[in-house]
Amino acid sequence: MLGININKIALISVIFNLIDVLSVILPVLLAVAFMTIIERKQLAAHQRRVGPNTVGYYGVLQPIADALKLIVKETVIPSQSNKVLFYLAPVSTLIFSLLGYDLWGIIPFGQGLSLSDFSLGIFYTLALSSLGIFGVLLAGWSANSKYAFLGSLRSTSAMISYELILSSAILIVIILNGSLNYITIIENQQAIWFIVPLLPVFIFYFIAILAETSRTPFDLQEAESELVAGFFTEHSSVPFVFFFLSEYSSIILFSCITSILFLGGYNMPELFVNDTFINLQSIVLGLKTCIICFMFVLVRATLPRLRYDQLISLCWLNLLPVAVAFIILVPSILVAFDIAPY
Amino acid sequence: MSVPYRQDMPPSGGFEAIKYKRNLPFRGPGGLAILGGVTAICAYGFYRVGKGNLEKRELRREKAWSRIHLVPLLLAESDRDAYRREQAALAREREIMKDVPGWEQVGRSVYSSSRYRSPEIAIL
Repeated sequence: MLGININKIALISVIFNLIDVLSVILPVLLAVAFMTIIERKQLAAHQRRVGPNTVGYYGVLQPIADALKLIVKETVIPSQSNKVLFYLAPVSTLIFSLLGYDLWGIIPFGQGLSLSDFSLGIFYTLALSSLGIFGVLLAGWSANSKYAFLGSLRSTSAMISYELILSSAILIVIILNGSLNYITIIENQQAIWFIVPLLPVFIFYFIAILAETSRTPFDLQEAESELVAGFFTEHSSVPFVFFFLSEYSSIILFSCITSILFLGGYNMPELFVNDTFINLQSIVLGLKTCIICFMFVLVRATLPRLRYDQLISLCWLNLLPVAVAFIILVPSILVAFDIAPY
Repeated sequence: MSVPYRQDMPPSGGFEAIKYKRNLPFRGPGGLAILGGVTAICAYGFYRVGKGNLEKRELRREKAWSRIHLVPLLLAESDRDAYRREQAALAREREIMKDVPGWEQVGRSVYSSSRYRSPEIAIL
């Protein structure tokens, strides 16, 4: 009798945990779907076109139609490819960006509104976001196509190079906080959002996340005029959808992390007293994330592509020295004026 | 018959320079202005960060000292409570065991030494 009760309790707690996780994952998956339509509509607006406007109201259901089309397409597998790795690559990329959704689990959406208040949150983020490279490498190698292989080499070296800049910028934020915990970082920004004292750092951080998500000025791994489609040249239908999803989910994830690290997360100016039951903090976080997503698309609509050697030399010769200089400068300021948080 | 010829020569003073340079208008603030502006913004930001950090330190110091001042009171309270519970337990034992012949002295220490030992068991 007692045993049955314990099993029941365990089952109920498992179900509640699942609901917890799903309540975070499902909105994020929906956001990924709508990120694609937002990008297309915004690009169209920049180029004074209409954009997709047929499916649903103003074309909002376009991503669903796209996904349906891609899923019912035939999956073509190259006969000389390594079939296991060929399938494993998109799956691992998507899984790591779904672990990225585990990152969503440690992102606070408001005071006390996170699945887990992990004290080493930023370490966890950096560790998991580095793992996505393996999917790219596997995809390029296993397809047995020189185009895919070249694309994967380019992607991998660019991502590894720019991860250095990204980690340096995040390290500066960590130094300014003395903490790796997201909630502590957000609460420290009640004094001022870190984009103000760290304006130059924010600029090269933004360049680094553009390169890390392989967005437009740095998207030569997907350059249509030089390579066919980058590392996923041979992937069609569902494996392609996986790559597509993971790319857009990483855009949203990095936007969210940017708004937490530099734009104050769920903090907002105290313009009025909110005594309703509506939690405005999560809405504020969402708005800030949307602003960064908008900037992603704005950059894509504005800038031309870099050449590959320019991409790498920009990272190693220009950005890295600046990043190292700031790593020295910021703690020096904290120590010199005796304003360290610890 | 000699035809008078004239060699085609450059004009006196040479050709003028080829106009290949782009003539782009200079727009926006200059480099020094941008550098100064960014520095000013960063300085204000660090000023605010510093104020916030100093306030955080002050709050931490206040918390530590409030705990330091509270500890004697809490300790005295818990001592008083432990003593009251112990005396009550002894009284209960005395009441229950009054009719049992040969029952040892209530409250006698289990150790031979006469040194005081604080009670190891919290009596609830």
